[in-house]
Amino acid sequence: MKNIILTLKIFAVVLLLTSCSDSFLDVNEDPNNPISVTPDLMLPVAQGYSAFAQERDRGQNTIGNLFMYNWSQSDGFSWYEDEFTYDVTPSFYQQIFNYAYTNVLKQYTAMENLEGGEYSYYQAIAKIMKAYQFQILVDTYGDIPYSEALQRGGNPTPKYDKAEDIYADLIVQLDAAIDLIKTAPSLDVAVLQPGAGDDMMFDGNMTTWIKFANTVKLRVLVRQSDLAAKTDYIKTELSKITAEGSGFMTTNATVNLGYVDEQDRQNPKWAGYGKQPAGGNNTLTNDATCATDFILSYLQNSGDGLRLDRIYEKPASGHLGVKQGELNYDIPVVDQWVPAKVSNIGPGILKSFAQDAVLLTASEAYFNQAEAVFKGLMPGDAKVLYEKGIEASFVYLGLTATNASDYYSRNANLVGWDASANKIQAIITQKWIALNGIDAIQSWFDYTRTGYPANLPISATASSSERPVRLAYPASEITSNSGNLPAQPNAFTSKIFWAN
Amino acid sequence: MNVNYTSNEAVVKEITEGVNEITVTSNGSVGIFAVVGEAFPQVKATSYVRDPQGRVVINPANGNPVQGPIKNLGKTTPDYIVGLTSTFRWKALSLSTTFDYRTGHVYYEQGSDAMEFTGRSIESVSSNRQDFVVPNSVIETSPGVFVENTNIPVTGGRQDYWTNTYNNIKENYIKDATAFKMREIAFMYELPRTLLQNRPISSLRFGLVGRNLITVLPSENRFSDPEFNNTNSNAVGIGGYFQSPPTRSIGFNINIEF
Repeated sequence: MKNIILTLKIFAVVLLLTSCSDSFLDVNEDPNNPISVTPDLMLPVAQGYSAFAQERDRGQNTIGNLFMYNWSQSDGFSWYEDEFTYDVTPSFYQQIFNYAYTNVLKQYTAMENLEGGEYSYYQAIAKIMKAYQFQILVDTYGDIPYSEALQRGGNPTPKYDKAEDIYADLIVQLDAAIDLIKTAPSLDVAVLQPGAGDDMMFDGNMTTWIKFANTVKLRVLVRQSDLAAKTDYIKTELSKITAEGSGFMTTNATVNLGYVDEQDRQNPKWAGYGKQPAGGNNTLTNDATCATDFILSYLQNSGDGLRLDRIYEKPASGHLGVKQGELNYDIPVVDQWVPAKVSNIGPGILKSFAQDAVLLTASEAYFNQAEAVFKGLMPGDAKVLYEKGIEASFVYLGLTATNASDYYSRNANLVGWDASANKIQAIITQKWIALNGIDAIQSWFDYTRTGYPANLPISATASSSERPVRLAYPASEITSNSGNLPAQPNAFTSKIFWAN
Repeated sequence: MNVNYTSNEAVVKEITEGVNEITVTSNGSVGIFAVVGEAFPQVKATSYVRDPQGRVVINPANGNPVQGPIKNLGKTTPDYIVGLTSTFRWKALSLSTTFDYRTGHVYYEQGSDAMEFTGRSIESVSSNRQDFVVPNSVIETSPGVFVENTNIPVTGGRQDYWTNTYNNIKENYIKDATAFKMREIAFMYELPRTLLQNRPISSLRFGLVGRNLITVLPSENRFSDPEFNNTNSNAVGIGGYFQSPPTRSIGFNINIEF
């Protein structure tokens, strides 16, 4: 008996000793707050941020639709008055700047900074997506923090780089990204391959990533194509894209995180402008947002009735729009512009809670090519590209290629290629229709650059006879980076460099 | 009787190199900041642009005031607090009171902001919902040259001017946070100890206690008790409606000692 007890005691001591392994009592590692993450966990988060920046309620797409006279406000809402007065102050749409740096670019930068050849594909994706986002920021704000930005605690007050210099570096970064993708297979390390589980845009298809990089390059180059001094540079860069051989996007570049019909898990545009989860009511913003009178009659008068019914909802009483900046909704008829009677955002734009978030449309890729070809910057057939752009728009909205050809075959100015006296005007005007409700901020940049579409009305309550050409630097920069912040440029006259 | 005087001065000396200002909380239009060389915490908000005489500069295109940048509008902790506690006793009765007075600070009153936006403010009907010429306003005809505006009315006086133009200038809602308060008044009766001899209780008092019965606020702050802050963080000075309103309480109090 004594021996048994002794044995048990020894056993217990041994048990205690052996169970004290290194990790068992080590409380310094918190499994809920990992100190390092793998890139397959970083990428979907970053792409979700990109989608949100673009499609959120009052995001990049919103400001484009309001400045480009696509959207107005129904009766009963005080929703877009700041936009209608062109109230470009440091708090106006500051989220475009703040969210881009604190979420989108921060996340991609962390991915870009991973060290080692095995991360080549992720580093390349990070560079491409950063270039995509930085271009939107430059187009919106001009000079911005770039070369010293995103070092977090390393430099809380980054300097502002010249917009033009940033543009030049975007091309360099995109080339570097393509290079990373191309050399990855020949590295002597096993390169981590993004896949359908973590790449929410292209399922890890690196050829599509090169096409997307080329398409972003095209966007950067075409934007500068009215600067005579840049012509040779643009030609050289475009010929590099041709030589590279992967070509441009022929489909929309979209993000889909696997959206479901639950709170905070819907597509961001649907969450803002569509319906509440689980078959709920329209969001308030859905009711508040409607067509302008101008856009409805423009589409009707140009024989574009099919797209009209997809871009804007058609109430039982017929299409009805409201001018921007209406001050008295009850004249001449009370309740004439209530949400049920006006054309709200249509079924071709708001498809479902699970729809893809669109970062760059195929139609825009075609229109940008058409512009480059027409200006003699690269070889090709501008007419074919122009018509493909229109076709891509029809298809996105849920119509067919035949519908598209019926439309663009008509002998009408700014519709048919041959019938259009001013081809650039036709391209930009068609791009404006194609990006309506989808990526309208690009149309705003085009408007500043080209002045098309022509005769676009300004809001009735506008504080200026011109629409804004840029946004003001946000309040956060005035507060925390005042030493570097340039003087606020005039939002109505101080155009971004590519428009001068 | 006891009089208390407290004064506390906190000034931001430095933050880090190259940074003169840091945001404690901000929505871009109004917020609480630490600003080097200024008292902490500092409230900053979107403001009017004014000429050297202090007149409001308007945009001649629509008659609306030009919205200026966010600027320092004052500190949110008081210059001083004077407290007065007194106790009067007469036989077994006692009357004790606690008062205090604090002044020299401001706060951002969200309630007044929300009432403007929802059309429930006195200001929003001050011109009978018609367009009007902003009193004491000027037009900047060329840089530094200001001409009095006598004829250009605001745009959207029916609604939009109040819900947006005026409402966007948060300077309108920075209110004087001065307050005089009677925090507590207690009227108590203590049972004579002789009655408690040979009992397990050593003292027994009971009476009425009223808390927060009187609050005197300046006339511009007809909205809320400035003391009720939204958070208990460093972001002192943003209050109004995310907190339940302060209440008066009157209670009966029994105090037994063993």
